[in-house]
Amino acid sequence: MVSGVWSCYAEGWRRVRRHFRVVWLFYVPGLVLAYFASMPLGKALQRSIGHSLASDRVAAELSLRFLGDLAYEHAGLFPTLLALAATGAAIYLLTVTFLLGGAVRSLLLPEPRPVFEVLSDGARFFGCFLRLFLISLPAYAAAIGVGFLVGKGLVALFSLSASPGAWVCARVLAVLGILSGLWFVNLVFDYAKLLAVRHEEHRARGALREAVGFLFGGRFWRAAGLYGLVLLTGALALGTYNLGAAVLDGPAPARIALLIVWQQLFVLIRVVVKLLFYGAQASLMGWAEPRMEPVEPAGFLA
Amino acid sequence: MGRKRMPRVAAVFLVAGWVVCGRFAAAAVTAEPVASYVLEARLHAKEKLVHGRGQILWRNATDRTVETLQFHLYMNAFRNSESSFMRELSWRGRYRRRKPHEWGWIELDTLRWGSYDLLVNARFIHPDDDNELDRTVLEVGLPRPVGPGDSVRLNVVFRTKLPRILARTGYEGEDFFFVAQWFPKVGVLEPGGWNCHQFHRNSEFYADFGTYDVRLIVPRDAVVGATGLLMEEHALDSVRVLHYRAENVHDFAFTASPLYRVYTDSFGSAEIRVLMQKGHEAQARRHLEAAKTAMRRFGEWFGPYPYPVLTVVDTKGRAGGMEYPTLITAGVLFGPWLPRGLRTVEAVVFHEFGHQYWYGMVANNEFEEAWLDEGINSYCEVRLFEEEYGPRGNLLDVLGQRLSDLELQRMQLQLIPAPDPVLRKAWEFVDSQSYSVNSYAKVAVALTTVERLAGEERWLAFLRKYFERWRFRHPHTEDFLSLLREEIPEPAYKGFLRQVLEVPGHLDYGVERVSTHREGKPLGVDFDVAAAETDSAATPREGRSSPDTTWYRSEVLLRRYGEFQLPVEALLLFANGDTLRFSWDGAERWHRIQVRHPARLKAAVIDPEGKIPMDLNENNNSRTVEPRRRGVWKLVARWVYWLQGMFSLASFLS
Repeated sequence: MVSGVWSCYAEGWRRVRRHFRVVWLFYVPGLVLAYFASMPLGKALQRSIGHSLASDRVAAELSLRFLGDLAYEHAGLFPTLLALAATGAAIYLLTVTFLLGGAVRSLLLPEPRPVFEVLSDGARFFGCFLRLFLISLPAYAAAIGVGFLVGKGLVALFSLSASPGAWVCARVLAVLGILSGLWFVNLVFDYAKLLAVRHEEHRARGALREAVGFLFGGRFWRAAGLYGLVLLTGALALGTYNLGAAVLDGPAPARIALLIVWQQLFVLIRVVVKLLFYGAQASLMGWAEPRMEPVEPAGFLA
Repeated sequence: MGRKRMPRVAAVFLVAGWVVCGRFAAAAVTAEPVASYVLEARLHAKEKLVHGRGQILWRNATDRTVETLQFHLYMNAFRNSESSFMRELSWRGRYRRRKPHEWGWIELDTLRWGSYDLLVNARFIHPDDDNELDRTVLEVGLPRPVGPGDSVRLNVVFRTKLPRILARTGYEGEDFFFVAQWFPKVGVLEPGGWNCHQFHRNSEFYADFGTYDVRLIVPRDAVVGATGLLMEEHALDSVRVLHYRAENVHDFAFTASPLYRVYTDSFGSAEIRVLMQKGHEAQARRHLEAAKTAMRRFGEWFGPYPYPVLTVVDTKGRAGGMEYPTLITAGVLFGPWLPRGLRTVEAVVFHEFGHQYWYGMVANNEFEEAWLDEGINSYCEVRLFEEEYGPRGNLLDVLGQRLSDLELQRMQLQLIPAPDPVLRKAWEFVDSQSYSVNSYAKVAVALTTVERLAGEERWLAFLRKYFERWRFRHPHTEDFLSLLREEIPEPAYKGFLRQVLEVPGHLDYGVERVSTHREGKPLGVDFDVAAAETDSAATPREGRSSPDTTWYRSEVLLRRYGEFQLPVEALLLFANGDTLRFSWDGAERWHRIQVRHPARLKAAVIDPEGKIPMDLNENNNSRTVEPRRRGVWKLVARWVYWLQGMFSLASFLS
């Protein structure tokens, strides 16, 4: 099983590399949306510290004191930024839902495909994926609710102990419980998408049924292992990013420029990891499903 | 008893007597008792009821004769939804919708002066509003007038039903009691008459000093903390009787719960007791250390803590941080585990302990001039944090995020609308936020500003003198300001403090514009135009090519954006490293500085030493001639990155 998981993981990388243009399709809209959503901040900062020595202090360290001053000077700025961020997130969510059908389709196929084909596949599966997304919301809420209740029970149990260590453990377990619930729901719905594309299943509930059948048909631990590997890859990327960001953080213009490049590189890697998940799971699906034997032509057609 | 043992026993008694008397001698500095109480109170835990009886000894310390007495019956604020307190609550649904047994009240069964029943001639009055349903102030007619210096000894019997914790008093669950404002309390007779306000949502208290001698009868398993020193304790069937005595105080509160864990320590001659909730034991040491730190610092600044004991209570439910004489409540805000860099325990203990000085000893009228204790005490809290943990990140220093107590107070001024002046009766503020920001944060930041302008030593000397002069008395705003005028006569910040107290507004100075240009040849009718045209900057005339003779004209426009006025300093920074310093009285809305200097102006900075934390926007305190964009780039790039992260998180759902 382990070798199967590893080979799927490696195959996932190969697939993402083969279809790298899809990575750009996910990255660019996020960057553009974030850029537009940050324009009011840029203008406010330009007015506040564009000609101020405070700019040097901010370049050296972003302090809560500075944020307080900024909020005081631009009273409506922070609500505006939050509203724009929420709007941007909603648009990006829909964009990704749109792109995902094409991306999954690409990752299932051996050859790179032109962008318009990716978009066209995205459009074909958009309705199904949107329904899946809507169905997933109560499932996520339920996962959070169950995790929260279990966590509360754990905290109550551990609170009987006077040890602060036990208290911390209870809270960590509670958070892990919630995260596990979210992870499970996410896994099921991601497989629903993969199977919807693979089997041209445009009914959300049908895809969901297939996903549950697939996962609980003896493949759950492989899928979970693969998910874990992808998660570990993401964590490694995050750790590397944080180390680099700590080194690059400083007020000098060259360091600021390098930090910006480093940040964007990490955002790109994040997209790669997201697609790696689909690539690897697509590979697992191919590995797990029985290969169809070529059918001999019937005698009367010979 | 043998002869040989006698001297030893005598010595023991002598030492014990010396210790006890010494401890009280420390407390009995100067307060003149006006309202003293000898009470016996039995806590009925199941019924959430306190049965009380005893004597009130009141002395007329004014030069006027009175024919009535006024009493605070604070607990009646929780009697129903129509008390002034409940009407003023903004979280109406939450507090007003109480179960029948969760309300609180106080009933006087007996109030006698000798054989005369004062309740015959009693009525509820409402001096602050027209709420006839409010029962928090009782006025009783006296059978004969009480002249200056005369005393009355009243016998009282009362029942107090505790509410579910509200305004830091009452019960929570079946086993936690915090009992404050639980007995009939005489108002303060001032030269102008009775000062006895109704209980309001935003107000705290005001009372005369006296001696409290209280016997508490509580369930046998209850751990008790109370105002004053425990003199005696004994068990009796299912109850315990505890005898407390406190001198030079103006209130008495107690708490009882079987779940408390008790931790003790001492500082000087004072015993420190910390009562921690079960499960919060890990934070006991922090409470003790914070109390000791506060005792040490306040002792250095204003004189030693004069009482023999301090009890710190880790409260439950909504009891929150509060001060009573020798008893303060604190608590663990975020569970039993707190990172060392998050000093919320210290903040509450520092603040509430500070009230032993500002409220406990310097006992201003909290109804009418809350800033005199809350504001000065918040300033002391800021100062204590800075002295103990340094000026940066002294309140929060976790994961690279730093915030000082001063910055937190300043942020409240920046972000919370507070349209009232500081000097306003507590219940007349537009809302509790305005009361809180004005009475606490605004004064704390303003006094820190004055300290920095006046000089630390001088300011502390003034504050110490104010404390010593008004210890065990009731000062007013004018007492503070007149002493300030005497001790620190500079007109600049004296006026500033009055503005802060009387005018709603804020302080913000900034540099609006800077410009600098190389001085050219004069042009026009009186000058040789032709010569000027041929004498371009690229080909300077002989004698102007030397850097010594190249001059720049620079102009700086300073602005006052806020309402408050304060003299400020401006520093001009030049490209060759020169600096020029200017003073501005800050009175007008703007001030222009023009200079001729042999180097280009780089930047202008107002308040260059950062002496004015009251200035609510430091971003406009400097202006450079050339753009400074690195901060802008970095912050925008970081925000873009964060947004991308947020989008990515949202797409997790897709």
